[in-house]
Amino acid sequence: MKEHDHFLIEKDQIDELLNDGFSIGGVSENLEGTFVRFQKEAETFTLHLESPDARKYFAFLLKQRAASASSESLS
Amino acid sequence: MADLTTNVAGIRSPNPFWLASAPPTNSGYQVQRAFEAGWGGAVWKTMGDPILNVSSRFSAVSFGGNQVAGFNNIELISDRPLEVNLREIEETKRLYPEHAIIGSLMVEPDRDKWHEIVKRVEAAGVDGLELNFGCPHGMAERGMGSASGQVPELVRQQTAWVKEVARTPVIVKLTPNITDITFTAKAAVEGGADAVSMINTINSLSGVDLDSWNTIPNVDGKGAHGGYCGPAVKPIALNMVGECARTPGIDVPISGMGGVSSWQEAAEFMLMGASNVQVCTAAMHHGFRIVEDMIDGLSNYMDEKGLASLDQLIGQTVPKYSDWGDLDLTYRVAAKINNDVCINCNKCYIACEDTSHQCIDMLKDEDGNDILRVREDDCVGCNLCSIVCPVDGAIDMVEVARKVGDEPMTWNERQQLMANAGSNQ
Ligand SMILES: Cc1cc2nc3c(=O)[nH]c(=O)nc-3n(C[C@H](O)[C@H](O)[C@H](O)COP(=O)(O)O)c2cc1C
Repeated sequence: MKEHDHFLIEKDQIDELLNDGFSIGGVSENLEGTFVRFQKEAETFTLHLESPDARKYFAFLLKQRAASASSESLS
Repeated sequence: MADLTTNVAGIRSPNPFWLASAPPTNSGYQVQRAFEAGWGGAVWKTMGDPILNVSSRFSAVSFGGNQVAGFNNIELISDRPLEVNLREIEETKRLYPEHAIIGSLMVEPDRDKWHEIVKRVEAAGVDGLELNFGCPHGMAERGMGSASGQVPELVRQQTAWVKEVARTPVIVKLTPNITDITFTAKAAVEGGADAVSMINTINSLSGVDLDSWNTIPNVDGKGAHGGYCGPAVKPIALNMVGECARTPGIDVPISGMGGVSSWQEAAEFMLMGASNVQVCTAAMHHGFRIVEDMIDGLSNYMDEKGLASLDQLIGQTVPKYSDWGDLDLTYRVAAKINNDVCINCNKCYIACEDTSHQCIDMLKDEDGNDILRVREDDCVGCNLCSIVCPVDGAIDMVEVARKVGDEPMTWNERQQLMANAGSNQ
């Protein structure tokens, strides 16, 4: 599969989980790539990200989350 | 016209081009001819206990039809008595008072020996000293040169001994045969160095003769490692200069060398923080008169850039030189092939398909002509296609507009965000 297509599939999976109300609960990396744990109340789901761009993209989401958390704490 | 006068830790010269300590600065005859040709300064061939040399001594690596892409030598320091060198230094200084003469020195790691040679060489009227902690062959086997220069404590101690008696500025010349040159540069500064210079030559063997199986060069069939310099070492030297220039604690001027053969390389070294440059291989390859083009070229460049003096050039690129972890992971460039210029040699296609990311398609245009097109989304912007392309302007690397999710983020930021998000495994 072309690298960009691989990224788009993984990005869609991330976006879908977020649209379904999941949020990022934790993250770890090992030799196989990045494992992002999504959670919605008691429900959890771990997504295995392999493509380099998806491994950048989820970090952008973390950054976005950190930014909104800090603006909420300010307001 | 821009002012090219240079001041390296108090050593003044009419321009930033010095001959490095090497065969071109072996004698008064040569240095006087060099000054006549326009060189601003000369670091005299290293003086110490006179050595014995072997024959032959030099070899060169040619690449792709370019002679002397790299140069290798197994020559040692000066083989002439100190008194002879000093007489000629005195005479040269008298004839060329405005030019800089720096005495390069190498003795055993012994306080009295350093004191003695420093006093005698300074008495001849040098403008400064350069301590040779760099030569990688021969002298190193005797505990001098790079054998000293690879041990920060020996660099610090010997520099301190020299500073106890020196009255002129002391430059410490560092070896590149070390993992991280900033360690020895810091040691030199701690020892009191007024400046550092880099690089001396890199351990090397030019080649092996496939008929005789002798090394190149060899001495009656036997070889030993030499020191590598010339155009091939420039990237290594430039990085070492840049690393020293940006490292806190190495706050002394840097005299840069290693592969400088034109004004362009000189400007690059100065942008990376060198206060001036030294040249050896290019002078050995082309003669002293190359300095004329260096002076004209640098002067014109500075005029074009509107720079009045070298201070406005030196170090300008240093703040742009950083750690990999501080680079933006989401910034992207992609290749764009200009098919009206492309000669369809397919080198880019082969390079991308065989050794990179397989993102160039071979297509036909509406008239049935062969064309190459980059799939921008799959291109990682590695530059390989544009590097192997033989035609100027056939491939441009163009910036890709950021999309949502492409906001700037460095590796270091990403790791911090990951740590904050916590681990689930
Ligand atoms: C044949 C030869 C002899 C050299 N001898 C000395 C020397 O006596 N002292 C020294 O400090 N460096 C010596 N060098 C190293 C040069 O001064 C310089 O550091 C090195 O060649 C890098 O500059 P380049 O690429 O312009 O040649 C020598 C280099 C060559 C090629």
